[in-house]
Amino acid sequence: MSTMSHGTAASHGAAVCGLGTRVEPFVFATAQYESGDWDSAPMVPANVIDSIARYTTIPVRPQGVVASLSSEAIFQYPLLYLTGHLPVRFTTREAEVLRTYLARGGLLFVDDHNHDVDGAFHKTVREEIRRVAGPLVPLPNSHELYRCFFVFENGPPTTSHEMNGWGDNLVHEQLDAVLRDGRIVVLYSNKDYSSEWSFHPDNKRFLSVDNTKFAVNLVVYALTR
Amino acid sequence: MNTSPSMMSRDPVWRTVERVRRRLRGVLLLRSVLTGCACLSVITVLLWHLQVPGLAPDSAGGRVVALAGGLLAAALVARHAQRVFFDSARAALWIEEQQQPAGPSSFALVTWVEQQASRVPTLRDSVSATDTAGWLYDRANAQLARTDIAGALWRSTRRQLLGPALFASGALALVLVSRSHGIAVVVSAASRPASLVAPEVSRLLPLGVWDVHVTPPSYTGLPARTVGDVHTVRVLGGSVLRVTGDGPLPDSVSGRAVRDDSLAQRTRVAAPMQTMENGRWTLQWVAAEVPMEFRMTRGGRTRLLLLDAYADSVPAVTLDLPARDTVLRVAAGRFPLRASVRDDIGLQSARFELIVSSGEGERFTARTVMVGEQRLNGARSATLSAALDLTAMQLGPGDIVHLRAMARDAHPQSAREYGLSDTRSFRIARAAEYDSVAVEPAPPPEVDKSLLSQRMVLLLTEKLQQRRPRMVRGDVVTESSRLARDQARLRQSVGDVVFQRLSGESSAEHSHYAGDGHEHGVDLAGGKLSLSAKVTDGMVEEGNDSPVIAINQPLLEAYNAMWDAGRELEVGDPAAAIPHMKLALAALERARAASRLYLRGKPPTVIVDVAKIRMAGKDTGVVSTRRARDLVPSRDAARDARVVAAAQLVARDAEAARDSIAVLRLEVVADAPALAAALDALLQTMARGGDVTDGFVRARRVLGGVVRTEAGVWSRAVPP
Amino acid sequence: MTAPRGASVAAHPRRALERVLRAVAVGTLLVCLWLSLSDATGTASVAHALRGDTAFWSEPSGARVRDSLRARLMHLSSEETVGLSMALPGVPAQSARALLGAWPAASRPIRWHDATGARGLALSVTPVPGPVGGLDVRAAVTDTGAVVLRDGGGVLDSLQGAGRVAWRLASATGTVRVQRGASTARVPVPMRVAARRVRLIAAPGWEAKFVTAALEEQGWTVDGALRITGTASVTLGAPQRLDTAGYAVVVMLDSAALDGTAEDGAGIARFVRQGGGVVLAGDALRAPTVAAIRPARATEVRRGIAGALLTDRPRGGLDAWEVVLDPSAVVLEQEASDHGHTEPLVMARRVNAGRVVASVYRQTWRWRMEGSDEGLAAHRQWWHALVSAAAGVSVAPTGAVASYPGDAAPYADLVARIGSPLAELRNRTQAPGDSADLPSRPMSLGPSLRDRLAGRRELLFIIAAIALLGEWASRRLRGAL
Repeated sequence: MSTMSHGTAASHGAAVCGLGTRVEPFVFATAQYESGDWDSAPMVPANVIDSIARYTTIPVRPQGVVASLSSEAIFQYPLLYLTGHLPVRFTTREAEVLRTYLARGGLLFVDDHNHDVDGAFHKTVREEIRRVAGPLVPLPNSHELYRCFFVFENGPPTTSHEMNGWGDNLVHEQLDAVLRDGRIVVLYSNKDYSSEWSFHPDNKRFLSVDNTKFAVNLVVYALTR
Repeated sequence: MNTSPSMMSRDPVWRTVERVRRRLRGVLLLRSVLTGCACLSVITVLLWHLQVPGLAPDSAGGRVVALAGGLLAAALVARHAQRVFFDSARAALWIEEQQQPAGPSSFALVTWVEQQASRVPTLRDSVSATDTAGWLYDRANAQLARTDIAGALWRSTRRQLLGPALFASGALALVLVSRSHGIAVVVSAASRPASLVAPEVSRLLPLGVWDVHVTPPSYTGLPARTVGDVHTVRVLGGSVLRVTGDGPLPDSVSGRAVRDDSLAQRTRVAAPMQTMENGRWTLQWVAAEVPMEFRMTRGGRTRLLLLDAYADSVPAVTLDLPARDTVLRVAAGRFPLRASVRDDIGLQSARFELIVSSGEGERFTARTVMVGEQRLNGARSATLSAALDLTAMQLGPGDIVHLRAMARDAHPQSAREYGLSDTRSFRIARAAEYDSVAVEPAPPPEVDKSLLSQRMVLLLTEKLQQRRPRMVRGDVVTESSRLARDQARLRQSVGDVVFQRLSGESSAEHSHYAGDGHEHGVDLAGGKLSLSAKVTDGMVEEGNDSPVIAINQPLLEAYNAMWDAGRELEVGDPAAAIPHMKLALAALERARAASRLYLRGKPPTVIVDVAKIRMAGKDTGVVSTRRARDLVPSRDAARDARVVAAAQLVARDAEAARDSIAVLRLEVVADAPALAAALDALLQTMARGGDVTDGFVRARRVLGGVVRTEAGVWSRAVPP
Repeated sequence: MTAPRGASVAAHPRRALERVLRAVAVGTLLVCLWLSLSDATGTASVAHALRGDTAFWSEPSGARVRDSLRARLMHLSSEETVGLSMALPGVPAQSARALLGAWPAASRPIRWHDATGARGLALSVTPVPGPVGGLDVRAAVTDTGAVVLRDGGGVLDSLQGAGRVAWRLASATGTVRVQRGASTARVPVPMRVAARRVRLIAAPGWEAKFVTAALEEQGWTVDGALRITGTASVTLGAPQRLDTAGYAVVVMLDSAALDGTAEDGAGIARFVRQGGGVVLAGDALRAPTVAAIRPARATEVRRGIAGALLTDRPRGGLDAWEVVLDPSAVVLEQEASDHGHTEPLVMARRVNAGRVVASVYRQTWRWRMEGSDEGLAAHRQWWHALVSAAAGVSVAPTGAVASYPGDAAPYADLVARIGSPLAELRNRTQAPGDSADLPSRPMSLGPSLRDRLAGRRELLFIIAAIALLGEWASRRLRGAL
């Protein structure tokens, strides 16, 4: 059964990715902003792309891109990933572009690489998000984000970094989000997924449980909701 | 005693009588004219007041009616006068009547005049008439001499003309006044104070004329102003608004925010303060920061007051110097800082804010410094200057300074937002910044999901210790063993980290332990670990078939302390476990603080081989349902319907139509300026009383309700 | 004193005048006698003139026309060939037209002069299918001139048009009227029809996401399934069996593999033939499953112009297919290309009872995300227009009774009921083979002079009276007897 589904899936993949119909692939984009270290997690895109390819038939470009927040290039990528350690301050242009991006239907995923609620990234980026999109509210663990592909019963999966007491030494039970009409436009994570997913995708085979499955949920949510 | 007509005309008596006759006749004609004028005025005023359709005083019909009435009255009076006074004999009789003092009336004058007047040419030569005429003439002359004709004429004129003249002038005055001021005001002009509006309007207004007075909030320093009787008033949020009018208090006052957005929904509409004084009512509000609409009702009629309220905006701050971000080699020097600040009302203070972040890898700390604080005391614009001394800030390599300027205006709300500028950053370069190491990072260690952190275990133990005196021994032991199991799990995980391998099965399935034949670099003795003598500084060991990540000493200490604590808990002695736990916690903190080998540099570019791994994952997803998006309501359709409804209302009730257009304009001025402009033009046309068809057509066009499409063969058009 | 008989007429012009007047009076009386005699002979001729001003004819209830006809009928109960003649100053109201239409339907002659000043004008108002509503208004005018569009709320538009003119209205109240000169066509605003659902067939991706978003934001209900893996999918709405009762339109965005259980190419073709609509967008034009029903065949991709998404012609910035049209396809929208010919952008085709609409654009989501600020609303409205162009409307044109257009085309309705006016009939012979349900043409004609005189009996009496009185007055004043 699994081979048959594998085969069908492979043919699906071929029909979908083949040259005959030229379906547009999904591109994972990392946001580049001016203040701070936007490139603190360079392995995350590869890992997420790897997970998408492993678990779904969604066509995906093998390499991620970097899109600057101050240019209109981010409009080409309706899902955007932003992380860092240092304080984040959007320039006027970046704030304006981001506001337009979110109003038109984009989704921004922000992850605190410090995993520290007392840290500069957390405080500054939350203020910037509030100025651009609105206040962040806790996302209930029954939200469809946790059930749209893989099912996460207890909400967002915990990361080893927060379990090990790095950062603020707290286990965050929920993610925060800015919701518009029930849809997530900004998803904010304190759980340090940037560190969790910062390894070479080939090393996934050493893990008994793949900790990047939540990324697949995020991408499926962004592509379909 | 000549009786020929030519001599008759030279006869003094005859001339006098004729003079009197003409004078009296003139007076009577004048009287009839005055009566006619008075009648005309009265009819005009009546038509004005009664408002008979088709007979408005200005129209032709009205004028004809009034003129006809006047002429009729004049004719009647004149006719009466003619019957009475156009005769010479009657004039003579009148002269006789004026005789002073009243003596026996001789009627000589009358008789003589009658004789003279009635002579027909054939009887002119009668002798008896001549005789009598001589004697009669003398008596008539004497009578005439006795009478004060001039005075009598004057008295008679005055008596006859005074009444009608007064009547006529009063009526004319009434007409003139009512044409320009309206009857209602004429009636009660004495009691009403002066107002700023033409009294014609007061006849139509439901609540009468009112005065609107606006006092801006005290912090702005703007003067209060009286706006008069207006329909829409533009105010700053927080201003005090006072409306004063005549008569009793309005029966009901209701207010609502005009727009439907989230800000409006959060705004509470406060009830106005109502007072009565000297027969005038006063309502007082504090205006909110969103446009509002107030309806006041009295006697079944409603009037609208629209507040076009706007909020005090946050100051606009621009950071002029430094102009760009910089990377510095050495943290030394002074940089000038300059920012320009502007506000619509007045600034209070401004300063520069710096966030200094230092650290590397995963550990960063930050501190905030304020520089160059300046009080601005209500200035509308200012320039903020300061100097940034990098030497004094004691920055080290790798530190980053984020700089921005912020300003606050004089608004009294304490949680008021600051106006913020863009952020510039200075970075101090690290010495080894451009070295690069290519490392394939390892996945993070696996952790049991139900793991509590050490801190948590410590907290729970302390709580147990506090409750211990009140608990039964058996319960204490049970709780304590539960905590011991958690502690053991923690210890296991720390042990896993210590023994982690890079290749082979994951540590959860196959844990290493001392004495398993592999060289780890740690020894297990009595349950505790210690660094083996072979490996002294815990570096990566090569050549072994089980290389181990470098261990640091604190982790070992933590492991051992956890072992001790677990042992104490197993025997049910939480008090003894606590110091061990604290030691373990401290060791973990140190392990955290120790520099980890988290090598970062330019990582290799990973390109995923999508085709190879497609659907290679073992897990599959589930079918999920997507919730549909909500309809984005088309505001234009609702607004179009309101414009159409107002157009249909114009014919019946112009005031209500104007009110609804004014409310709609206030609602759309924020997001549809073109429509607001079209509605503005429409309102002005309505105020002028002109033809509003074009205005409505333009408003509907702007709303986009009417689009010309191509009428092709296909039955449906695709609009361009 | 009368002058001697033998005096010449020239010497007494007054007498000559009197004689002339007498002759006129006698002649007029003879004409009246002749008219009344000739009416009574019973030849097929028009007996009654129906006259009235514009208000008489255009009264909405037609009561005055009815009363007037009834008054005439009362007098002529026994006559067989009572005809009717009139000169119409304006197009009568619908009830008046219906009353008049009964005359020829009862085989009575009727003829009329066209003094209406009105010409052909026809109006049609169709509701736009979909949840938002809207009206598609089309008017046909036979000559150029100012055409004014009105509804219950006032004037909507006025333009100089000839041939066909069309509008898309967001809403209208009361009656939609189009006026051209003296003619006015009226159609009451039709009721909104309940919108059926839209079925989406697409692979998961940005295009599927944003097209669904655009349609749902316009109020459409979208059903479908986006296949993520072989077993996992994301369900939109509650998809059911594809049939015209529940679904109005199927939107295909690419040639994602169609599930054999829910629908496939044959199912879609059957859906279309039964009256449904299909929108083929972008890559779906290449799908082999819809090759039989598509209006055009896509050949190769034409790249969008860089930066055009921010201009006032944003669709120029989207990638588009170059297509080869099917012979039965109709082009709804096209643009001039650099190579001299026009590039079709939106095509449509009828397949039995259904419609297939195709758009050449790929990845229209870029218009929404990368376009200007109006792009969001414009993208939504464009997709709504595409879907409503394919959806069927099951509403009959209102205002029409049987085969008569009614107030939607008043002049045509008048001619259909009572035939063409006199001037036209004189110029051509009666056309053979008229359809059975149209009323028969008016019967044989008499000399027009008699018609006119018959309608002017009062005038004849006045002429006679004046002539006689004048003669008498002249004689009396002369002093003669």
